[in-house]
Amino acid sequence: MDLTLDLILKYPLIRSYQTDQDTLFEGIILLCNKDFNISIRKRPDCSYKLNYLDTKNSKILQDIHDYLKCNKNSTIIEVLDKIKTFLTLNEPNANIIDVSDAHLRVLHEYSEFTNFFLNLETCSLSKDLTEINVSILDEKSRTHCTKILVNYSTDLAHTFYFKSIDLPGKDPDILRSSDSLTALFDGFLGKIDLLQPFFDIMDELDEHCTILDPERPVRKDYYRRIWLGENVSATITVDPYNVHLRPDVRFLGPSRLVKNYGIKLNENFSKWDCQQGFLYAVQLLLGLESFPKRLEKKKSVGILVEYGECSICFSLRLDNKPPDIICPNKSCEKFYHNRCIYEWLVSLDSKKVFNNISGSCPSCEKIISCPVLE
Amino acid sequence: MLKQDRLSRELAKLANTETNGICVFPKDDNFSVMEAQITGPENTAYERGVFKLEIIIPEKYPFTPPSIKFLTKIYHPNIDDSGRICLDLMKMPPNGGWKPIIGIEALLIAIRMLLETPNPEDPLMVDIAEEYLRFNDKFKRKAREYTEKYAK
Repeated sequence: MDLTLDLILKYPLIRSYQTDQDTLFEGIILLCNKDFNISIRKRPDCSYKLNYLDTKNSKILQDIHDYLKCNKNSTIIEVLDKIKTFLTLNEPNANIIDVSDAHLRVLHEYSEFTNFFLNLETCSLSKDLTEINVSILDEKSRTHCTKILVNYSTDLAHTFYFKSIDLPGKDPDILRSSDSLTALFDGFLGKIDLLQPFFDIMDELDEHCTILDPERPVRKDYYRRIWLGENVSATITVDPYNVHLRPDVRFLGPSRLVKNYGIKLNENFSKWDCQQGFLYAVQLLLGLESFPKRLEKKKSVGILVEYGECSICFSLRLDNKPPDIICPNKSCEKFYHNRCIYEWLVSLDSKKVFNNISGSCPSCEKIISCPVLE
Repeated sequence: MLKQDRLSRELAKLANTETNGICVFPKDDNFSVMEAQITGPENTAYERGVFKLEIIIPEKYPFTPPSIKFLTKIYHPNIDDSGRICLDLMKMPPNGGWKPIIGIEALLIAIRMLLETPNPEDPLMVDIAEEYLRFNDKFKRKAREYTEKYAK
């Protein structure tokens, strides 16, 4: 009786069946994360015979047979323990890390984290304890979301790390991984506080200008391409950490239209002053009375290429860049991505001069040229 | 990516507009093969016929033109027995007139126009071209027979 109870406690997935004379033990042995189906017969003379074990490793099977042959009168638990030892020693992937301690630690960190930060808007831990999604509201009620992943197979100092950080700059200068979830998130929060003026002006631009690019701005985008008129736009790039500095301005459009904007920009270049607000300063810099608003686009049915889109790939963004080559022929002025027009000109064996290639525009067949790409 | 994006854009446009007598749908997920149907233009021997075409999109599309052929048998000076079409727009320059701003729709319109006005000066089927020029009634009768027989 005792033995049956012990068996249930130690090997809960093994059942015993009484046949005519023999006892049959069948079920599953759990070893790390792996299951092994097993079936053992105990004969009346107290010897054991292995009927089945789902391993292809012949050494293990041989070892078990040898063991069973010379160890009569053992209890079933002793036998199973021994088999488990053989499996552990010989199965190639038996060195699976036991993650239960790590799981506990992650849960502990997580609960500490949720208690520490009171301004979390949403916070969730995935069922497999590998992903934490957090969103918070900043002082202007803007939502910032981030995803933190848990890595169980590295050293402790890098357990928690950011999947992607929605903060401006190629490589935001913050703690990227840590053994403490709270410390990691604190770094992120610190940056958000520091960047409040930057988020303010970007929101202002989004509100008052017609933004062509990025299509759906996110917090990390520190440039905006704004619509100035049919065929002309300006890309304004802001330094996120020095928002009072004059932003970088680049115009896009046919040169005859861009020229006037360039002249105005040059005149106002040295007068940059953002005392009365960034938006107003940009307006003065561009020499605008107000930011032009583009009327709602008509639902474009039947137009294959809309204004500003590349006439080769038919889209606005390629590698996330808007078309940057414009046909110089005044009556054409079609837009192309450098990569698209370059590839077409190359396929026609067009002439290369230094770093430029020129050939005929696919639309008007007049001469067009673009920089050579690698 | 470029190929896929552009084709999905082209197909979306085709789906939204009633282009006269043209219908295109992809046959696989990556738009490598598409099927098109065009109706025979009115007042021609191909009237009331529905012609199936197969469009094969090259990997380098739109920098190289797609190849289009008739799956439905058709009696025409510029279309041969295996469905190949002689059309300048579907060849690369300098010999042909393909440009990446041309799309599937434009090619199909051009093919439909070829049904309307065959080009016997540059034939693929010399006999049919000859017949078209010299015995136009006979040509029309045969073309109509083919349309009745195969393009229903």
